[in-house]
Amino acid sequence: MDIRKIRKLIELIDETGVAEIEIKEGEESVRINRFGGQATNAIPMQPIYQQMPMPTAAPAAASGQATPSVAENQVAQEEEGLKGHVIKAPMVGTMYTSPQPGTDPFVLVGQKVEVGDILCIVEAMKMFNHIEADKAGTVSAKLVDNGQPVEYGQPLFVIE
Amino acid sequence: MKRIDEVIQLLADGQFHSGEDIGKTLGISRSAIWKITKQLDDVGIEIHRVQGRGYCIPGGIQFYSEDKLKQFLSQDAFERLKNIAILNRVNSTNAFLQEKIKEDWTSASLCLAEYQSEGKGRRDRSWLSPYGKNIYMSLVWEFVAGPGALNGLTLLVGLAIIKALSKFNITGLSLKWPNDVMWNGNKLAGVLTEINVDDINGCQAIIGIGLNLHLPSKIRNQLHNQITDMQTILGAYPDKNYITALILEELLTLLPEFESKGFEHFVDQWRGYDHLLNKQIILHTIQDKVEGVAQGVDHTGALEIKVDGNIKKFYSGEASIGSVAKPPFE
Repeated sequence: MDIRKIRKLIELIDETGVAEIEIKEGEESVRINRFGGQATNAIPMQPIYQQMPMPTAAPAAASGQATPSVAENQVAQEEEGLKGHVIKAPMVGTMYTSPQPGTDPFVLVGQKVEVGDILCIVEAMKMFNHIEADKAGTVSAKLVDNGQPVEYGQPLFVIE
Repeated sequence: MKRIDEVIQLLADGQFHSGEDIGKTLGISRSAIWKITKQLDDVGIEIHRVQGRGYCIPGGIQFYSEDKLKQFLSQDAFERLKNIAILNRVNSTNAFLQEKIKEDWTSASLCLAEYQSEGKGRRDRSWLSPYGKNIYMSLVWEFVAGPGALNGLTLLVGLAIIKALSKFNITGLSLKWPNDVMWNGNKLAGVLTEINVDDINGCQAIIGIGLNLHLPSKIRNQLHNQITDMQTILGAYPDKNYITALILEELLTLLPEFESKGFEHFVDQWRGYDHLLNKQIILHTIQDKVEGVAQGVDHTGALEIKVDGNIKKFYSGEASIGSVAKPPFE
């Protein structure tokens, strides 16, 4: 199942006030519970936690916990002083804002982005990680400059 | 097949072919042949033109072949390869697989090419990719873990190349942090990894490897002999399908081990080949320049440098041996 689908489901739940939704697709199923009840699923949930905007770097071993509710995440972000959807560094490395030195940046503040658009590259030891927008919207902030080192979980962009 | 590829096929035997013979075989005019041989220059093929004898590609060209690859690979390794693309010319093998991932090419999928027009090297420079004379390969491997768990992947691939080349009893091989395989201080091979984070499936890594087999003298001169090739090391080199198979065999063995145990499990082996260890180095990062003595790599693959008495860790940068005050030497 595509994470985008799951993310849409979470948004749907939030918009409609439905308490719980369960979707089956072939052998895969996912249940999303609005109030932090025990989530059950046939697919490994662990990577989802990493992608969820969480206040601190979630250890990879955080599986087994319930999916944090959307409301909790919004609160967490406001605590950090960042409003909107925060894109965080998935690993330690160096931030590159353009595909090659001297070329135009992937995105500019104020620019509209679609899901899947590349925002930047985080590189460590010649491993290049293309960071994509996982939410459509307008880039409202770029928090790290080109060539700066970044820590795991460090906010890079805000999309509103 | 394009005209240029037909001419390459004909000249691949390394023998002289007269313009007249080539023209007859392929049904083209001698002036067309002359134009095509100019195009061969553009893809990095060294061609000799000798009056009265015709045209010749010195040393000939070996081509990739799936049959040969299969013959050299263990059955287990061959069966792990879900997809194999053998291409004549491509922009880059990594870019090709990046597209194929969208069509569900998963672990393990392989791309080999005779020529790359936009081979990826360091971020700021391309990997010189003359036609047919080197190994250009990329492999898709999926990891269940997130990108944070892939620290040191590029270093591990360098180690896999060294292990593969151990079949040839070469002395003087070393690993230059983070991604170069060196022979007597000259670059033999390079690694570049790209990853896509896929929330459901973890991470997809595209591991790109370039290994020099027989560089045209023109390229060698351009780079002031800071690079080397298998021809120089061994005096001759075996079928490139064989060398490719050796590297694949190592990768397909080491990657699952890396996935479960991390780079930590391999760090001692890597340290045994550390090219920079205890040397005075300069590390160029995009914004800075750091000078100090290399202390080796930590369990994540990060480079430790002693700078003014303090040990600092680095995750990115281009290292060179030497200091600003003194000219580089080894």
